[in-house]
Amino acid sequence: MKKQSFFLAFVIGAVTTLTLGGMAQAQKQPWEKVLDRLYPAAKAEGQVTLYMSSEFPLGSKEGEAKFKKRFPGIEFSFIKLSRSKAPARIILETRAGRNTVDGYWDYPETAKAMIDRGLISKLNPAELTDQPEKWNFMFDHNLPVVGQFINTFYYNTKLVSKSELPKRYEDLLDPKWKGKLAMDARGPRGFTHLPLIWGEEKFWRYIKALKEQNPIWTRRCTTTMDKVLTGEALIGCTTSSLEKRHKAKGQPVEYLLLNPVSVKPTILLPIKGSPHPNAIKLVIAWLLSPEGVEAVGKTGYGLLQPGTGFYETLKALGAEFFLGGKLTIDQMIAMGKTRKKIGKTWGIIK
Amino acid sequence: MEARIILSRVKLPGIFSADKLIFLFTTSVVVYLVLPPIALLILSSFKSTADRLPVEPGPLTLSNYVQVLSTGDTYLLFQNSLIYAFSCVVGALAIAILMVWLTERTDLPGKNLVFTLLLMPIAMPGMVKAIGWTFLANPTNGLINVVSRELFGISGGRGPFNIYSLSGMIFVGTLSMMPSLLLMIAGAFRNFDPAFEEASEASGVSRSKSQLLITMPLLRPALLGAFIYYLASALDDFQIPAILGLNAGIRVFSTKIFLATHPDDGLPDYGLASGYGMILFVTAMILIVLYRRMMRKKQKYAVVTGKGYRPRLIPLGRWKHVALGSVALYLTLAVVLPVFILFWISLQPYVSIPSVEAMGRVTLSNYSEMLAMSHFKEAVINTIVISLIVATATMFLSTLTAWMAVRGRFPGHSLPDLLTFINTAVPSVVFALAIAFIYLSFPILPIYGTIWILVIAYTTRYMSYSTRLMGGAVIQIHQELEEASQTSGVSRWTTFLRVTLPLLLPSFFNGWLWVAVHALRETTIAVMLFTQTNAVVAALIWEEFQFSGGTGLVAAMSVCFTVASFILTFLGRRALLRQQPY
Repeated sequence: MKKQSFFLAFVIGAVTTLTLGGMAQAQKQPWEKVLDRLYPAAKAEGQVTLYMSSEFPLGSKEGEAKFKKRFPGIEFSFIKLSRSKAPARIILETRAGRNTVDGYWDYPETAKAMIDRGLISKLNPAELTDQPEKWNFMFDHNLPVVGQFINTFYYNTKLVSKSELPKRYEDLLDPKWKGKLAMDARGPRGFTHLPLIWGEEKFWRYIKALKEQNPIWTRRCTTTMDKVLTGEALIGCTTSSLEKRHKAKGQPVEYLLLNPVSVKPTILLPIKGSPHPNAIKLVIAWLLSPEGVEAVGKTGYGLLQPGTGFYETLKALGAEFFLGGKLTIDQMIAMGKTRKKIGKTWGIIK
Repeated sequence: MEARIILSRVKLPGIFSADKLIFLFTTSVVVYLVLPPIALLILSSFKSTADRLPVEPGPLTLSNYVQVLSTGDTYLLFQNSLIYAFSCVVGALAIAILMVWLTERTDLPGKNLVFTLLLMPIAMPGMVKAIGWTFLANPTNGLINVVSRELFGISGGRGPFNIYSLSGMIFVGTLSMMPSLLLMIAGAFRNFDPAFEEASEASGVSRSKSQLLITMPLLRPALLGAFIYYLASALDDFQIPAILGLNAGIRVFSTKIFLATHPDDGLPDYGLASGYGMILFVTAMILIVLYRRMMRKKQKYAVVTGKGYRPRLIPLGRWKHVALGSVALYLTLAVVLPVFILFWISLQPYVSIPSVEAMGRVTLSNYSEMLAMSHFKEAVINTIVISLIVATATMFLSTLTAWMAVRGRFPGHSLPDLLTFINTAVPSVVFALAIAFIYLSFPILPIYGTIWILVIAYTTRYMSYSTRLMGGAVIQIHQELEEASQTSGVSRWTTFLRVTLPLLLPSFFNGWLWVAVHALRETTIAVMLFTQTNAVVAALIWEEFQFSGGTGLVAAMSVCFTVASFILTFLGRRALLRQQPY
């Protein structure tokens, strides 16, 4: 009798477990199923490491916590390394067959040096997302765009009132801003899309006039932002998200969006011969999943997707993104060349 | 004397004599460390590297030299750099001589504390100092300008001081360079035998004239060594001119190297950077040859002899207040203001000019953010271990190199000395690439990804400073001391350890301190070589600074390094004074 009861209880338990498990699986979203498929191989590797030149790859500690919760057993780490050093290191390490990192997150133009050398693993978009047509995969390696930086302007909210702010790019030439603008002497990225809209002649006339405004010259984002924060400059042009580093700390700085806003995509490259090739695929898949998009989207360097915090913030401020944020590699290279030419035209640092 | 030298030569014959073995050891180590970066500099300069690394296959070309030498800008910028470098070195050396004379040779009250305070800014990266000065003296809302305008009723909303100018650059460069120069010459002043001055004074020459005519010429090796090292280094300095010169329209030579190695996209152009680096390389060669020619009669400068060496302190008398006043003025400009602004930035949630309103925002968030960084604890341990090992290894190797260069009696004895100095001319990024390439491609030592690769890189890099420092100190010691020991049957090596090294202790300690502090704050080389397993604090935090918002973190790190350097100096000085209580 006891044996029969025990057997019955076991059968009921097993059936219930299988049913609930099956229901849970059936309730899972398609993107979760993609992640589930990639997880076991990634877990077997147990670790993943990235190089990134700018921010926190998984959308701050909060994003990292979400990733860890979803994928226990995978240790995530990243090394912040500027784009003048990371590619050279990756090339040297890969040539020597001694890779220490699995992926590199940066601008596509920077990645080109590694792509040209065949140092990037090929990806299959269908393996990484349930909506491959939705995302931008670049080059024939199908490298995914996982983030978008906005290149725009910022102003000191204590020293400039909203009503005084420039409304168009041309308004920056108003004499009241003379000596009050902070600009990267190498050419601010926030202007590099304008020749594609205005044409060359108008653009270069504008750039020369901008120099006559006697900007306070800088050569890095940090210094530009510091000039605005301290009030030495009132408006700065740089590539930066205010969300995590500035607004979260209550700093007196806000976006000044001059439309259309220049947007620069960033991609995540899986490095050929990396120690954890499956784990890096999982990271990419997670970044393209709604959970990843939302986590990184809060920070201001994730994908500009409706419904994510950063996108909605910018939209509320009236932002219109240049080409909807979808640039081709040729457009990006052209914009890079424009930037160099701005630096040369100004002649402050050459 | 000649007989004793001959005797010493007879006593150490054959290829296995102690000094030859030391020479072979020192030369092998120095060549192993220094030659690869120099070789890569030369190779890179002959390779077109617009889209490839110099270590990748590619044809040899003169295109970098054509580009460097055919641009009129190169000469103009080199001229600007020379003006900047020369002015800074002369200014800093003059202040260093005054300060070291006051702290080592006079009865200045509290001089040990003064000496320790003078060295505090050494732990702050040049860029941080320059940024600090923009907060203090930018013409728009720099603190000093705002206060001056209020005090003196100056209208117009700008000035009266403008840090964005050539004089501003030289001012900050001079203050920034002074502590390192002070360390470089302090040992020589400390070792100086006042008998020479006393003899001069006994002959009726005034004290000040004696100082000028006797002391200064006898200290020429140390002063000249410091001068040429810093002239070569300042030509390569980019940080201060980049921040302060940019708005004054003053461009310097090192800008070219920076631009070549920091592209917006694609790979750095190491070849072009090396082409520019070769100009510095040739300059360094000329400087070292000039130095050697001037130092030919080494015995002339030997002031530490066996004849009753008795240091004597010069009483300042009524000049004491003037001396204290000048020390206080210098400390205010070079230590109090920069350290204050650094501390202020580190306590603010975002960079802001000091004000009553901003007092309410004081927070330790930058420090807690620093502590919360991933790999931070391991990085702190690595940093301390690397700093101590590098300082000790560098100083031993440099002392041997300098000793061989001064005392060596066979061909090629000064080769290590020459190599260490011209190494100064290799741009830091090219140097770091060479080290990474060697230990990745030729795993002679499997140290890539360990702290040892950083130890080797830093040791190689800092030897140029410490060898110059020790060279000046070794020349000061008269050969008769070593000869006396050897004629008593003591080997040359034991003599070095038991006689020479203790006499070199003040310079050795100063060099050790300089290297230790620089190893703490080193960034350019570290960021090229660190991985998850050998992270160091400065590299972790410096990369934060590359992106907007990291100034507070860098300030917090610099404050910690400044405190560490203060403690190191304080403890070191105490130990030194216990050894040499005068």
